[in-house]
Amino acid sequence: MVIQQRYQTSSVTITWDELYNGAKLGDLIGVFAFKRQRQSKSKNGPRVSTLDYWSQALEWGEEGEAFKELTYRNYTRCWTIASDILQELQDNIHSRVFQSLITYIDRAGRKLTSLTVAPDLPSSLVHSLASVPTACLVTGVNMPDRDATFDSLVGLLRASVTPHVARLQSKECSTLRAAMYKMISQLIGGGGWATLEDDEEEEVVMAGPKVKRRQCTMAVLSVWYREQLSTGEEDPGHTKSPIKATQSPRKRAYPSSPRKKPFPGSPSKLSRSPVKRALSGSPSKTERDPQEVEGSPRKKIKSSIISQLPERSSKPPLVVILEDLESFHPRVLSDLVLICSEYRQAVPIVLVFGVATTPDKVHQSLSHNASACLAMEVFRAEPSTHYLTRVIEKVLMSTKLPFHLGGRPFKLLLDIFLYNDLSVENFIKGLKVCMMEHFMGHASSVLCCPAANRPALLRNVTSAQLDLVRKLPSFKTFVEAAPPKEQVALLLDDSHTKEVILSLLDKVDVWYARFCVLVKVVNALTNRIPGAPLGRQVREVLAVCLSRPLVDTEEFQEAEKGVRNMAREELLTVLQNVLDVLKEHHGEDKVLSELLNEVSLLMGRLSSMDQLTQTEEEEEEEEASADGSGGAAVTLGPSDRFRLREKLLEMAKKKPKKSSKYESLRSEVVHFLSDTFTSHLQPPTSQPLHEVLFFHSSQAVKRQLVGLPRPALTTALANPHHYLQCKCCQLEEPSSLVTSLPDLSVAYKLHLECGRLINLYDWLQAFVSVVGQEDEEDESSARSKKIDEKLQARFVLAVSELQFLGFIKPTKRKTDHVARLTWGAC
Amino acid sequence: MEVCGRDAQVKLLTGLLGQEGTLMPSSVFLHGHSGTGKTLVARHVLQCLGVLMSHINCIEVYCPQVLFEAVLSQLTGSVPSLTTGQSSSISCDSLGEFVHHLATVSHTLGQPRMAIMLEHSERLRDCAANILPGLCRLQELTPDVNITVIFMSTLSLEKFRISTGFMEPLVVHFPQYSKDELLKILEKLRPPTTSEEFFKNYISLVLSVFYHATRDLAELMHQVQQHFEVYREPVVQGEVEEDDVRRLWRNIEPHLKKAMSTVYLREVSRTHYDKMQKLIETNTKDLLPSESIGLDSFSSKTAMVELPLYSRYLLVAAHLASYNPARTDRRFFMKHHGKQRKTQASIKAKERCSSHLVGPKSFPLDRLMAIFYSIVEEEITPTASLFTQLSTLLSLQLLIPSGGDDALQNPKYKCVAPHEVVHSVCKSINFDLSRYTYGQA
Ligand SMILES: Nc1ncnc2c1ncn2[C@@H]1O[C@H](COP(=O)(O)OP(=O)(O)OP(=O)(O)O)[C@@H](O)[C@H]1O
Ligand SMILES: [Mg+2]
Repeated sequence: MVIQQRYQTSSVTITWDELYNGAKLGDLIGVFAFKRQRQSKSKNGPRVSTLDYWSQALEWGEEGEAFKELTYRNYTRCWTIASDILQELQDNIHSRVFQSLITYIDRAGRKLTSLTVAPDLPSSLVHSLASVPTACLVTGVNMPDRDATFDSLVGLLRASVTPHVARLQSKECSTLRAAMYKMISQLIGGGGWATLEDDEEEEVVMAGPKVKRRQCTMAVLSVWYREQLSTGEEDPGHTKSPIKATQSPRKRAYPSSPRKKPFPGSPSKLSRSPVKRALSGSPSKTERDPQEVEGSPRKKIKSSIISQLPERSSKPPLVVILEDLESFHPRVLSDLVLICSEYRQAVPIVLVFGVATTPDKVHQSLSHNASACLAMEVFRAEPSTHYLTRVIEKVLMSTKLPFHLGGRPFKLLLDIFLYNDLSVENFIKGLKVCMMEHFMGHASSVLCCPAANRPALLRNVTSAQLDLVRKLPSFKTFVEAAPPKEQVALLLDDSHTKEVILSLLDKVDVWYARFCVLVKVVNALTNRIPGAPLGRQVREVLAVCLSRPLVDTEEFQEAEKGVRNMAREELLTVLQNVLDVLKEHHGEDKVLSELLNEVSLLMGRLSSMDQLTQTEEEEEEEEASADGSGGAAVTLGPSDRFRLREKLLEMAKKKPKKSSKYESLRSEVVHFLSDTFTSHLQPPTSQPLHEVLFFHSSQAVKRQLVGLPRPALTTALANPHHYLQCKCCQLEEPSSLVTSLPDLSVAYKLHLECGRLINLYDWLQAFVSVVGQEDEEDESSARSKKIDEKLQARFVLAVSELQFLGFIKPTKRKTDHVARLTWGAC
Repeated sequence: MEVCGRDAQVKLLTGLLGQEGTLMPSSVFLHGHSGTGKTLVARHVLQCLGVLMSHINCIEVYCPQVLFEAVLSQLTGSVPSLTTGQSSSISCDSLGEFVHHLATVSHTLGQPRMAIMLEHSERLRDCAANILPGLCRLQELTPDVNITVIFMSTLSLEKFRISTGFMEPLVVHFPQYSKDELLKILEKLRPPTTSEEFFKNYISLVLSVFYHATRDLAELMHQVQQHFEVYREPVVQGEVEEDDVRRLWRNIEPHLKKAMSTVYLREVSRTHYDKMQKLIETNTKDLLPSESIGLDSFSSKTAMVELPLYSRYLLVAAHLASYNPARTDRRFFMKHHGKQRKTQASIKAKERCSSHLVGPKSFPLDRLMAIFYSIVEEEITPTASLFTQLSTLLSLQLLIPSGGDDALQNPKYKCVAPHEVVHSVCKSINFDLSRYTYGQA
């Protein structure tokens, strides 16, 4: 949280790209109070692009620049592909919840407004509407994903139900006053959030009339709402306009807001700011994302939801979203609810609560009379684990994306997700970091681009670059396995090598596609086995398959045992699942089509055996009844005992004979499948040229993804140059001491040489002797015993900072000593 | 809506306010439980007497200025608005200005009798120091204005006496309605299409069920309206005669009994939630390497919280740290903790009841982390995201910061997660809580 908060609150948003290159963790954690120099972020100034930071870890001499260009281009290509897929997922993931949520809000809004319009209803009816309609959206604890969720919810609400939406966050609503201001200013000033997607346009937020802080009372709001209604009726054009949502929901966001024209008689200053801004905001938007034309996924989902709703009512409700209900002060929350319910006849407010834990939390934090004012309906957002499953399936296991994750990085990202945050957003960021690292750190990534671009790219590859590919270990082994003549050609003939590389890469593509389908097959086969040795999710199987040959793993052997124990019906359903997976994905792959045929054949045999055994059983039964004992129903009488034993023996004899047929077929199935897995589910490292497409080095990204505060702290103190990047602190050797180091660092290094207790005076002497060196020449004589007061002050400051950082603490055991809290001299 | 069963209060209030032309009392204090008709009676009386009134809900009054401006705008009948500009609506920041404005308003309107009704007036105590005494003495402060302030509150007058300069207002008490009075009031809800007798029977049925749970009129009204359709259904269908009370009762009884458990909780439905929750539960099972546990063992479905793995352990560690005395940590979390001395048995018995009765105790961060590392059996490095999870737990209000003299160096926390949540978390990670809990092991 520390990191994330700083990450957000710093005045300039630090992109991950920057984080990767320049701003290291220590910068965020704050060991030193040094400010990094930042480019002023003026709008006309040149934008800093990732390319400027695109450094190559490897040395290529003059080829470097060209490489930089190439890998960067490849990176952007890959990331665009990935982010397109992700964007579509993000828009669709919550569509089911949002559908019901929005329908609910719409219905509740209509019910409320029908009351608002006719305030003279019979009292009995009035009372039945005593409560504020509330939708409680349980989002799960994945904090970083929450923003995106609410962003899309707000977008949908604006497009379909009402232009008046307010979003409240607990950190802005510490008092009732602040909460009211936030709520009312957003409602009246509405329309603003729609433009907030781009932070550069943050100033455009207020599209409606600006509201003075002192004006924020419910009375003002209700008058404003009445005015909205009357202007809305005067101008039937916009509200009654038939909803052509399928064509341009985005466009509707502006004109449909009744504030399109300035209020009659509004002072000129009002018409100045809002309207112009709103207008200037919209064209820039269309320029900005040209790919968001007709039929883009976001629009599709919007329009699908909108088309389900009746036409937007001419009296739209006001929607207030409380994003993080848990963190709201209970009193503020209760008051807000009570006020909304008090004014429900004048302003139709629908509340939306974002709850991370359980809906019971709402009643826990509300006072009793406030919770009696709510009519709450609970919705559950898609759990983030489902979302992750989709991301893995659509991005990591997709053939569209040329870049793939290897076993270890995948496991790392998965662990971060499951153990630490359950946040898909962070998972995606991690993926991006992996991608960057791949393209930046691996020369062979020059060839990692969509298959269609590959021939063109290879044509331009210089022989020096080709040599780099030749040096790849997997290519070397490939060459060694080739016949000697071929070996020579591969090493010397560039054009031949290029051809081979091309075909090899294509092979890897085909192989990976098959690999992914087979992973799904394994999952379908094993996820029902009790204990689920290979896990119940595709991601778990994938993690295993990416890192080791599946068949050799212990987990697989256990799973195999499980399959061997399956009853016939079980096996049939499992095989049916496998068949479904294959049918869905087999595509043009020959191996998979063959597999499909084989499996369906086996299934046919299994089910026909089913009939076979059934007839057998019937026969037996007939036999048994012919015996006269009446089948299995053996009556236990003292005289019958002997016959019972006989009967049991007989049954026992029959059983193995009968089931052995099934058993042999079953083991045939198992053999067949595990043979397939043996040949096709080898880890990616078995493929030649896998280094080009797969990213394997988890160590490199681990440093970026997993923040380690303590090592960062010690690095910062031992080697300030690492973070400060200044000339003065460069050290040849990590333990050496230089005068120009920051005081804190000097004090730290000196204290490392001490034992458990540190004599402050000795420490001071040592400190002075290091720091005071610079002005030694001129006043060495004057400085006898007396210590410069300035130096002493600096020392005291450094010592107290060390205490603050938790390296030392005062002690009473010995006067003038402090106790060390860390050990060793690292 | 007419008032019934409040004749005494109506008469008293009418008498206090007096007839046209007389000076009204400076302030009146109405108190009684919520839903006892304070607002109704006050409005009724003021309307009958033709007094100009302004009605303010003090919850909204987060600063005095809101109150003043609302009163003035209601009295003058002007609408505060954005478009008319700030100039026309009166701006008024202090009591002094308010008094001044009142005098002019009263003058322009021709010295009418005016009243300020203050709903939830107990909130004014926290507002500003001078506002409550000022309102009590408004009559004194504005000599030529005939104005009265009517305070309404669910608290009794004693709770208001803390502020200095408080002047005793005239008190009218609104006692709780008796069962008969409730019956009479609820009968007013009768839809015009149904017969009186039928509705009366219905009301007494509802009242007999809910009277023990709540006497709050608003809640009762809600329940009456909620269930009437169900009650009437057999009659509409023609299955049951209108006066066959017994069969009607048998029909509605289970329905009402079920509604009893959700008095005051107006959850419309949670079908969607329950459906998704099931998905998660099956999912969390998959998420963890542990052996599968029967799903039924999740005692209450709502207690299930979706948390990352380490957060679960952190929560359990925090729970243990809150409920176990620190000196027993050695015993629970160290592999070789010497022998327990027998003499402690007696002390233990005493403490067993206390640790769970007293509630969670606060613990320092170091202790939490120590317990955490010992219950997570594998090796973990203290990463930044581990501490992030701690702050996530804090923001979810499962832990709360508690005192601690130094929040930076040695922060202290307390685990306030409900026991069911902790138990379900323990189950999901296969952790035997009782083995580590003091007084249960
Ligand atoms: N004597 C009565 N006759 C008819 N209806 C009544 C009576 N008393 C209360 N009610 C009903 O109960 C509702 C609540 O009453 P009212 O608002 O006056 O309570 P209150 O004492 O002001 O409560 P609170 O302290 O919560 O403001 C009224 O709207 C009215 O419908
Ligand atoms: Mg009232």
